[in-house]
Amino acid sequence: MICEEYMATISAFMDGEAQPEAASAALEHIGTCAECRAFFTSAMSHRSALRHTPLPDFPAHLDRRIRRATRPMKTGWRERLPFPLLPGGRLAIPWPAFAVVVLYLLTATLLALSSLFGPASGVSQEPTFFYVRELPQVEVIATSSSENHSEPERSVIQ
Amino acid sequence: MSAAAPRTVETTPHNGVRTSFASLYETFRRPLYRYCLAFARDTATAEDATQEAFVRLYRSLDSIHGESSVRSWLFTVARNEMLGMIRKQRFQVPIGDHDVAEEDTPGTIMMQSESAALVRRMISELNEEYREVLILREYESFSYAEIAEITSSSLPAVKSRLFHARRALAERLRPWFAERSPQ
Repeated sequence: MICEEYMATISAFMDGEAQPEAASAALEHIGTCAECRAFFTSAMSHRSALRHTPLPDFPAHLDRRIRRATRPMKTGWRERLPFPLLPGGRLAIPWPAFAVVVLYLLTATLLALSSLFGPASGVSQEPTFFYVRELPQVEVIATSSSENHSEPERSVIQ
Repeated sequence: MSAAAPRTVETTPHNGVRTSFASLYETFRRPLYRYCLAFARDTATAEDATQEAFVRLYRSLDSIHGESSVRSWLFTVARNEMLGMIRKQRFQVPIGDHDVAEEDTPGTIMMQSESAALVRRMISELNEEYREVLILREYESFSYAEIAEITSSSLPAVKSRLFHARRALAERLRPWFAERSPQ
């Protein structure tokens, strides 16, 4: 076996992929061969250096890009709802608040209708009054062109 | 993790464990990005490949079963994507201009040793077929079988490439070791 073959076995041994007999022979060889020992030392050193290197920071802009690209498509009506659904597909609606809103809208609608059309026809209990402004009294003075200058006739129209 | 959590797509793998895209994304995004950075030596390519791999995973989640399969699948997709981009663009990035070391934050630079930075730089100078098997093995601890699957090659080829990659690296690091070793 030449040194290159021993080094190949040492490389595989480091990865746990060498045959046991071949690994034993290679390790025995390391004790006597400076070149193979240097190879083993170097390989172990770079492994140690690499494995203690911390993972790089993941760029924030790349994270945003991936999250945006993997956002689920909104295809069904459930996905298009402006509020989330509870497990089982139930609507996540705050019912007390919903009831208050419905009552308010109902009351407002009824008030608006009653102001437009008044009380319902046929159930009037009070007469309808029409307000007429009182006219002022008019005094009519009848005059004549006769020669006798008698007193003019006065009458009041009410 | 950002405030806006991704929506999850639930799937049921064969092992019965419910796995979501969100959890897979959180588990693999940084290792995959590191692999892409080390493989492509270019930030833009690494980012595009990472994104493409996760988008394809999102679309194919129902057909992939088991977390280990997802891991191999993700790295395979990212690798193929990078190879495609590299072939398409035919760019040649000067070593060091977009090196992995430039992606480090001040905190990680403080944490990492001089030797780690040197080894990474030396790896980035290896040719592609040596570099990728070394990255997959030493960074991600993939088995030979998984590396063979990811790189579409045979087990003996993986074993041989790893040996030659380590040998090439040892050659490049020899002056540095000689400098540090006691006289």
